[in-house]
Amino acid sequence: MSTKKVFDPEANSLRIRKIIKVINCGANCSTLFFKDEFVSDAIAGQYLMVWSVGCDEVPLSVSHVAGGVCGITVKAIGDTTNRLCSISKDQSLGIRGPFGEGYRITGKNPLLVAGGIGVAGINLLVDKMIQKKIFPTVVIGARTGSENIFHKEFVDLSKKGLLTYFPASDDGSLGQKGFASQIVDELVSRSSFDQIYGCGPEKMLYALFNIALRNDIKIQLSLERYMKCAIGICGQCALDGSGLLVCRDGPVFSKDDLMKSSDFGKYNRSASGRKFPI
Amino acid sequence: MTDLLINYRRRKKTKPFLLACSRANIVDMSPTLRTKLAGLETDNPLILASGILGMTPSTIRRVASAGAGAVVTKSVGIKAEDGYANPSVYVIDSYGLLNAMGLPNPGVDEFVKEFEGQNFSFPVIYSIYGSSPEEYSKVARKLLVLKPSAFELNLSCPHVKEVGSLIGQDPKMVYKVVNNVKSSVNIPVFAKITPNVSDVTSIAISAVKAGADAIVAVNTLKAMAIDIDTMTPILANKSGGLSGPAIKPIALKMVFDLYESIQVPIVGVGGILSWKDAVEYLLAGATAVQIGSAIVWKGLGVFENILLGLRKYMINKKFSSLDEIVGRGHK
Repeated sequence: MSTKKVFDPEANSLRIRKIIKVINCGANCSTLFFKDEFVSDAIAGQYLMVWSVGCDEVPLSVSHVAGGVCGITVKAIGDTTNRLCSISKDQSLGIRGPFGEGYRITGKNPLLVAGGIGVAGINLLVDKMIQKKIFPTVVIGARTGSENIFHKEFVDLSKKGLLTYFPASDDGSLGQKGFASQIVDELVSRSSFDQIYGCGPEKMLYALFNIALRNDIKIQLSLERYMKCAIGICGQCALDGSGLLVCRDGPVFSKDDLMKSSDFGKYNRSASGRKFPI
Repeated sequence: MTDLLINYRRRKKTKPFLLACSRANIVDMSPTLRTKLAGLETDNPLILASGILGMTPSTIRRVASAGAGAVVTKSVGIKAEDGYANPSVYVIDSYGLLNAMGLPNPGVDEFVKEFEGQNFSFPVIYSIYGSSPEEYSKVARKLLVLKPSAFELNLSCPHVKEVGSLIGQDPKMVYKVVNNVKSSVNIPVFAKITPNVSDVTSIAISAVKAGADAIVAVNTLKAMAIDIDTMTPILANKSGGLSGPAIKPIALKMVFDLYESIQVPIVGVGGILSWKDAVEYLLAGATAVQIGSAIVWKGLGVFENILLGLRKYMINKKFSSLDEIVGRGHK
């Protein structure tokens, strides 16, 4: 844990930030933009603890960083995310972070895969890669076309030749009918990728993990667990087998880390720590 | 019963261990960190404090392999508990860790299922909480199947009958809880006391009279933080407990005072970040120390760093065992 990085009390401290722009992404999702010097330096895959003032605090991926303006993309699922999605311009929220180990950008031919709201975590990775003149292949899965919230942006980047884009939807309303992992299975049999990067539902991540194992491809996956502290002490988000902490050792893990984690792809834990199947 | 207040303790100080060591005959003079604590034997005096990481067998093993001589689990209660909403933990600069977790745990039955069949090669102390003496002993009995090395009673729990006060703030309740657990189990029972009282010593004495095998001093201090922009308390529970460097001098004084008033071993806890902090606690009279919040600032490497510093200190001072340090600050 974090022997790599020194704990930064300043980045951990709570900052109240005014929302300077809100984009409604459809499918009950919004991107909230604000300015923050620490978040401006975020590595793709890192997350913030976002405080809906006086309510709850939830972990959310940094989805946008450009010109000193940072963004988080929220899907209204529970009370807190609903409150966050209803925030309008000039209102405030609290942030701590960025936290955790993000994606390491390596290789020349990466394959990026996201499912559902996982696209929020992958979006910044796409930007960072393009900045480094690495042009990734991007597979985005969603239950239905309207839930592929950054579809238009990816189409635009694809037209500029900055990425190769494959949308998929469970109902066939956008792109190929089926799961993102099915497209990935086909893609890896045709091209040689140096690395697969994933963010999304754990079932999808587990499928990607197995594809990576079968094809001997390196992989970096962003996991989600119930978090309380975000700083590696409460143990709420620990993975079994390895004892790795999603909040501080992750959320992005390599193949080796995941091989040692016996609960990956199998079960998750509730706030009380009770196990439930994925 | 002996009046422990007047039983003022002076432990015999052993002389520094000296070895005549010629060049031809090199003798290993490295000091031992082995610790004997109320029937437990550990490789070193560092114990993972309750509430930090110790929720699953994997995290416990990880902390032990990072150097902890023993670990205390997160507190387990009779029923599953989600704990409070977030923010439940807040780091205050480099000196304090504020938390109001609300005792999240899966409940003793689920906890036993998860820990059953795990063989740990180091002592595991199971922390228990309850809302009545009977609840504490019920949880303790259910945990016995795991063959615990000891129990630690988390006495900083809300009083079921007196809303707003903690079990650990009432000497009579402390006596009842410790006594109830002690008469239900035949393994060492440690009482972890709260500093949120006017007289910590009288609480510890109650626990000792009731049969506590060791006193763990101390739990977190009541505290809070308010965000000045939104003018809102940061913790979802508004207030919580403070640990970390800010409380070290306070907890140290409590350990110092307890050493002069009680006869059972003391486990010192509160803000230990460096080997110097650990030595201070030993000098104040702690037989062992617990490390928790330090992991925030120092990571899990904190255990090895403290052990390294402690060993060097002992070599420099020509101490061969920890007995020679414990309580030596009492002049």
